[in-house]
Amino acid sequence: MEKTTPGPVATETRVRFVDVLSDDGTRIRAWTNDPDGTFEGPTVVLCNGLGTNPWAWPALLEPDCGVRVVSRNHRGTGGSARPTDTDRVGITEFVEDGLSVMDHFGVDTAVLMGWSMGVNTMFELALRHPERVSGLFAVCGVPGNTFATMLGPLHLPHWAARIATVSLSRVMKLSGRALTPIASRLPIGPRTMGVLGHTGLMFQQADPELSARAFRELLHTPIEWYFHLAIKTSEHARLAERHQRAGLLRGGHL
Amino acid sequence: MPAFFVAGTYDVPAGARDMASAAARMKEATYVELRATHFAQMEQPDVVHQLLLEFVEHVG
Repeated sequence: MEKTTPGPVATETRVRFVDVLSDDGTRIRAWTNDPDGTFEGPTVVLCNGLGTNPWAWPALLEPDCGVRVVSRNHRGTGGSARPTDTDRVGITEFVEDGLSVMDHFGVDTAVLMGWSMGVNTMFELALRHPERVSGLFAVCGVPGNTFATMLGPLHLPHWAARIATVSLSRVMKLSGRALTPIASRLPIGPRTMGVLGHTGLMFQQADPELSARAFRELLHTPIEWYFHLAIKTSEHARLAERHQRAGLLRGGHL
Repeated sequence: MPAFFVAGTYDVPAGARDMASAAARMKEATYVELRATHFAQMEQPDVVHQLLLEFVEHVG
């Protein structure tokens, strides 16, 4: 097991990174937009999109944004270690990481914010530990079974969308070793963001420089590892399917 | 538990309709749809952030 003493790792103007040990000893790189630890106000725990980083959140990096954000990079991405058991990269482990980061920053209860796959993580954390959560703010993500709800604008049935996206992930995992050296060297800058803004995959970015940094860092994750994470997290069924019968949605505590 | 959903009409990885149905299944959920893709908070950071601040204040 990797042994790392938690402590300050790097400080940038707007973000401080710190290493935290998760329940299974995996070293998780946490971050906050309160580098000096002096902010007095509400805390939001961000469950970020898979493999993404602080640079995907321009508003949270403004000095007067009004909330303290604590978050972490996913296992094996952005400076976080891979777990000794490489299968420990599902939603269960992401929840453990989230709680470990909350404990590190002394956050008992907070609003959780999720983006994309992070919405999955956030709902699972709330389901398992409602006493740690005061509210759920979901951005562009669904609670569970993300792969089935992908490709929504194409109006595919859920089963077909799931087969398509999981299959693509398997192909990407297998071909990742060949593609990573290319992807990690792509010259992504504000101009690339401008071009992508005309494709329909994304619209014009408010801060092209910061978005370029977000994508450059994302592409440093080895592709085969990224899609290993994607496949593992996809095994998490949609919350409603698992819990509606148990009464945890309407009429229950969620 | 209070929840707030911000969806993008042009979001391919997380379809807005599925977010709407998730919100509809919850007791205390609000659903807002923006003219955005999957990267809503990078395209409209001020709008998404304002919604977050209002939600945090409402919950707090």
